Order: sequence, then structure tokens, then C-alpha cells
Amino acid sequence: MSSTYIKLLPFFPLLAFVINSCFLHTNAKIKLAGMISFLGTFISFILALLIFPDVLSSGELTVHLWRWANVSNYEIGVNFMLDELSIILLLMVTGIGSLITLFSIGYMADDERPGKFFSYLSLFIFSMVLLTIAENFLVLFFGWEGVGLCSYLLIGFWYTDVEKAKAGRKAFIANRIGDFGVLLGMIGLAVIFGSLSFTDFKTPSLNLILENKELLAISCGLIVLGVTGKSAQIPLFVWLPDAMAGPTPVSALIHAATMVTAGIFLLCRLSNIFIHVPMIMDVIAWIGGITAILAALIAITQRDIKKVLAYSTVSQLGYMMLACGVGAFSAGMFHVFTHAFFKGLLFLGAGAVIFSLHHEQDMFKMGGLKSKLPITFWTFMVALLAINGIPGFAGFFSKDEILWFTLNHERFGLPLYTIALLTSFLTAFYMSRLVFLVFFAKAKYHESSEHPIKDGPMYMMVPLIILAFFSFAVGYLGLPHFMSHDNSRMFQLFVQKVVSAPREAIYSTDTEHLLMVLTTLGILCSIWLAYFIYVTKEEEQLAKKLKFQLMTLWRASFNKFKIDEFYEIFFLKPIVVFSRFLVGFVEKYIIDGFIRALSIVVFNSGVFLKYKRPDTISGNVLYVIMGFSIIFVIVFSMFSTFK
Amino acid sequence: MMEIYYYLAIFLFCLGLLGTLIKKDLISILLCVELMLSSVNLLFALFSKAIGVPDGQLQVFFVIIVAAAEAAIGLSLIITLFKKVKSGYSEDVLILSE
Repeated sequence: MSSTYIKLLPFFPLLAFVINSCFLHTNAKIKLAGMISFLGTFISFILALLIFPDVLSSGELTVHLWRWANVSNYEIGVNFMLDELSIILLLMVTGIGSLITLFSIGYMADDERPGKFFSYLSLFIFSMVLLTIAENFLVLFFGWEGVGLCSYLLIGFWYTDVEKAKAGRKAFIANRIGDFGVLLGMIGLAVIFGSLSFTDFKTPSLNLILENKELLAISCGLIVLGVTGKSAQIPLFVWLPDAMAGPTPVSALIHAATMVTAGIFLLCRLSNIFIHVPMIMDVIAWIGGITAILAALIAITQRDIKKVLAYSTVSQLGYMMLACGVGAFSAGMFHVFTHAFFKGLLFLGAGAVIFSLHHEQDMFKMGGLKSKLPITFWTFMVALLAINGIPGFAGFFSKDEILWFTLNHERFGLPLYTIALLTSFLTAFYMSRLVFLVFFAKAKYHESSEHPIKDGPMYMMVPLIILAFFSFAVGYLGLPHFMSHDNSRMFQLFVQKVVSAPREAIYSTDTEHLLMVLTTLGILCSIWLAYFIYVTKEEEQLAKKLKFQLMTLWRASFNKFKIDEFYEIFFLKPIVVFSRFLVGFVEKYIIDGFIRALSIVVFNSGVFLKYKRPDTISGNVLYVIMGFSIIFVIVFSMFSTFK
Repeated sequence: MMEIYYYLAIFLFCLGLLGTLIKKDLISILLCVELMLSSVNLLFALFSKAIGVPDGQLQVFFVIIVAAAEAAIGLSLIITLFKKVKSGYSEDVLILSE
């Protein structure tokens, strides 16, 4: 029974996409288009819930649909697989996807092309489901490219604004670079293991790994490049902040909760291979750590509410990479899980604020919305506490877990831990700054009596409340050991059935408790500091004084450390110059020159022969004989070469 | 002793070819074409004898029949041309290449 359910999983979002794109492309009622899209996603969610008990009891479920390709001794089928890892991502994608689709019905109410918007959204869910339940790498890659395409389409949804169209293009190109890496890495793995099936990758043969050490390291490195593209890490993270040009629900769904975690998901899928390449693991850990702190530093000074959240997402994704890099894949996956809820909620909350203020995104022009938008405020507060890592909320458990495993890394434990700890303080600071500026500080906008500022419609508020509940509750699935004896680290142990388990801890559990308390105190200090700077009476003076004293740092952070400009000079410019050279010289003179010379020769010989036509019968006979001899010589020489 | 007939056939063929190329009057050209056909006929007969299969000798009769028909058509064409342009030389019959 559940095999039928698995087959039907991607079908309903696809159906919603087809209906929306074929029949409701123009002049659709937003509620109709939205409900079709919502139902497509929601039915998949229900199916996923129905499959869940089977996965709990029997573990891996595999379904074969049809044969895709059969090349000598490779056979690649369109196979789906649900195991402990993919069922979690599947529930997350379809569950949060349904909520965000519902939210979009309210948010996109004024848009002229709802059919198009919801068809893209459904196509995204379809690709993401395919990516999640893929049994082999090729099916995953299909979904991987599909989500990239939808991301591009949705970032540039308001393409009449040139900046937004450019942001879409940037995201697409950055992802293409990464996808190229994934493709090459996939080929490398196929060469080494002779298979693309994830079932084989779960228990890779050690002999093959030892025989192909170098090739394996290269393949894994290339896959990591792909992961940095999709999950927005250094060096390819630049697209994610720009991706905020898309509609806010899209940012919540694609660029916070689901698509960007696909990279981490892939790392977890291949965890049993990656642990045999310690060098690449260290690279992953350092990429994660540096991305986390860099993005957090940038987030501190941004003015645009969505930009802050975008950098926060990059930073949190850095945490997940860090967790994978130190071998704690299950902890990384746990953070993916909790992060999806609270970051989705933060984005939807920001969307609700932007919606209420008629598309104002500058935080310094907001303020005092606490009483105006009560539901948004309270749900936002839950998300804030969750992302800051206040004990009791989801973010606390997952972040603490990552910090703990980072400290226990045998080579770079201490430096990475310091980075991660600083990042968590910075996170608390900039997130609190956001909340204080938006909800607490003095109001800096004009409220007209015709458009009073109030919470959005029910479509928007219900998803907020549901997500707020989960942002609070999901942390208890992965309670640390000392808090509960029976169900400790339930989530992690569940995932560890298919994902490589972390190493034994070096430090004692007492150290863990002590660090937990200290971290929490540090986070509270950060929140207090943000409150002190941005809310208390002397906010203006103090903020200005601070800004003045740390001008260089502040400016560096505000300008995003000039990373875009750096890429522009060192990567974009050379490519542009080289392309100009190819167009202006190689194409014009070498390729075109050759063809033009050829055409001149043919044309002139035609002109020449035109006037050398035989006049007499004997002349004609001579030409016939000449032509015949040439053919004879060619045929004869061909025969002699074949012999 | 048989080789001499092969050389004879090749000589006849080349003679016919040369005549076709350099002769000016149409009747001579026609005769030279007939000469080439005869050399081919001779080769047919020779190969047939060498291999010991009579098919080649049969083929000769077909070629003679075709050659007779061709000579009749060729001659009548030349006569018609002569009536039209009052000349039997190939330079005067440029009609064909225009």
C-alpha cells in the first residue's frame, strides 16, 4: 500500500502545476489558483504522513517506476526510496510548503499573474519532492536542477524590475557553477563504485575506497562545490542575499526552509562516503565555520529586513555545514529541521510586516509595530527566541548540539568552536536588533486613516501560528541526554540509522552542561546589548557614537566586505575580457576568416570554370573522361585502403 | 599468345577515344565510338574464353544489337543536323552546348 503512496507523492504537485500553468495561466482568481496549488502540496503531505509509520517499522522502502537508461552494465531506473533521512525532509517540505502556499494566497492578493506564481510554486514542490525521495543520484540531480530552475523563475518573478531579473540570473549562474561540480562528482562516484544508487552508497565497499583514494577525494570535492552553490556557502553564497528580490513567501519556502538545505541533505546522503575522506571533511567544516561568522558579521549592519534574514540564513546554513564537517551529520540534519520552522516563520513574519506596511522593507522606517500587529509580533517573538537559542525553544537544542560536536572535533575543535560560539552571540545580537527596530523602537512611518496598519488576513495568520507552535515544539525531539533518559536524542538516533554517526565525545558531559549555561548567558548579554543600543532613550546618540568609533568595521560590514566587487574584479572581469577577445578576434578573424576564405575560393573557382566550358563535342567528351577518371581514382584508392 | 589480343583491345579503345577527342567531322566521331564498342566486345569474348563461361560471348551479341541501333539513330541525327546547319563538322554544331 505504501509503495502506491510513494509513487503518487510527486504526482499531485505536478498535477497542480499542470492545471495552473495550462488552464489558469491568465485571468485566474487567486483563491482558485492558490487552493489548487495548496491541495497538491497538502495531499502529498498527507501521503507522507501515511507512509511515516511504515518507515518507522521497516526502515527503507524502495519503489521502482520504470527503467530510465541502460548503458552496458549500468542500469539506471526511476526509483524512489524513503528512509529515515528522506521522510523527515519530505514531511518538512510538504508540510511547510502547504503552509507557505496558504500564506501566499494572502500575500500575493494584488498580483496580476497568480496562476503563474502558483504553477511555479507547485513545480518547485514537485522538484523538491523528487530530490528528496530519489533512490539514485540521477533522479536526485533531476530534482536538484528543477529546484534551481524554479528558484530562478521565482526570484525573477517581478521581472519588469531589472534589478530583480538580474538577481534571478545571478542565482541561476551561481547554481550552475555548483551543479557542474555535482555532475562531475556524480560521474566520479559512478566510475569508482559502478553504481549511482544511494542504497549502495550507504554501505560503500572499503576496497574500492582504498583503491581510488585520489579520484574519490576529487569527486567529493566537486560535490562539495555543488553543495556550496545550493546551500549558499563560501565561495558561492553571493546569490542568496540577492535572491530576496523574489516575493517573500518564496524567500521563506525556497531560500530559507527547503531548497537551500538540499546541499546539507546531499552531504548526509553521502555521509558514509565522505567520512572516508578526512581532508574534504575538514574543508566542509572550515567552509561552514567561516561562512557562518562572515554572514553574521554582514547581517549586523544591514537595513533591509529581508537582507538581515537572508544573511542569517547563510549563517545558519554555515552551522549545518560545520556540523557535517565535524562528522555530526545527524546534528546538522536536526538543525536543518528546526531551522526550517523558525526561519520559515521569520520570513513569513517579515512578509506580514512588509505586507502591512505596503512593501516597506527598511527596518529604520518601521518601529512600534508591537501593538499594531499582535499576532505577527507574538509569533515573531517565538521565532526570535528559537533562533537565538534560548533554552526551551527549538534552536537551542539543535545549535547546542552542533557547538558540542564542534568542540569535540579532534583536530580543529577549539578554533571552530570559538567561531561557532561568536556566531551564536552575533546571531542573537542582529536578530534582536531586527525585532527591536521593527516592533519596539519609536514608530517612524505615517499611518493613513484609509489604510490602517493591521494584521493580514486569516490565510496569512494561520500558517504563522502553526509554524510558531512547531518552532517551539520540535526541539523536544532531540533533547540532550541529561534532560531525558528515555527519549534522549530521539531525532538524531532516528536519522543515524542511515547517516554516519558522530565520533565519541572527548570532553565529559559536565563540560557540556557548563558550556550550555555559559552560552546561554552570552546570548542573553547580546540581546541586552541590542536592547540597550536600539531601544533605550539614548539609542540615537549611542548608536551614532558606536558607529562613529567603529566606522571602518561598520562600513566594511555594511558593504558586505566587498565580496561582490571582489568577484567582479577577479572572476567576472577576466571572463568578460576573455569573451570579448573571443568575439572580437578569434571569432571574427580566425573562425569567420577561415570560412570567408573558403567561400572566396569556391566562388572564384566557379567564376573561373563558368567561362571554361567546352564548345565542341570532343571537348565535352574530354570533360566526361576527366570526371570519370577522378571518380575512378577515388573509388579505387578507397578500395585499396579498406583492404 | 592470348595477351596480344588484350593489347589489341586496349589499342583499339585508345584509338577510338583519341579519335573521338580530336576528330572534327561528326561521322568520324561516330565511327570512333563504334571502334571503342568493338574493343569492348573483343574484351568480352576474351574474358569469356579465359574464364570458360559462355555468358560473355552472349553479351557480345546484345552489344552488337545496341550498337547497330545506336549507329542508326546517330546517323539519322547527323543527317538531320546537316539539313539544318549545312555542315558536318562539330564546330558548326554549337547548338548542343548553348
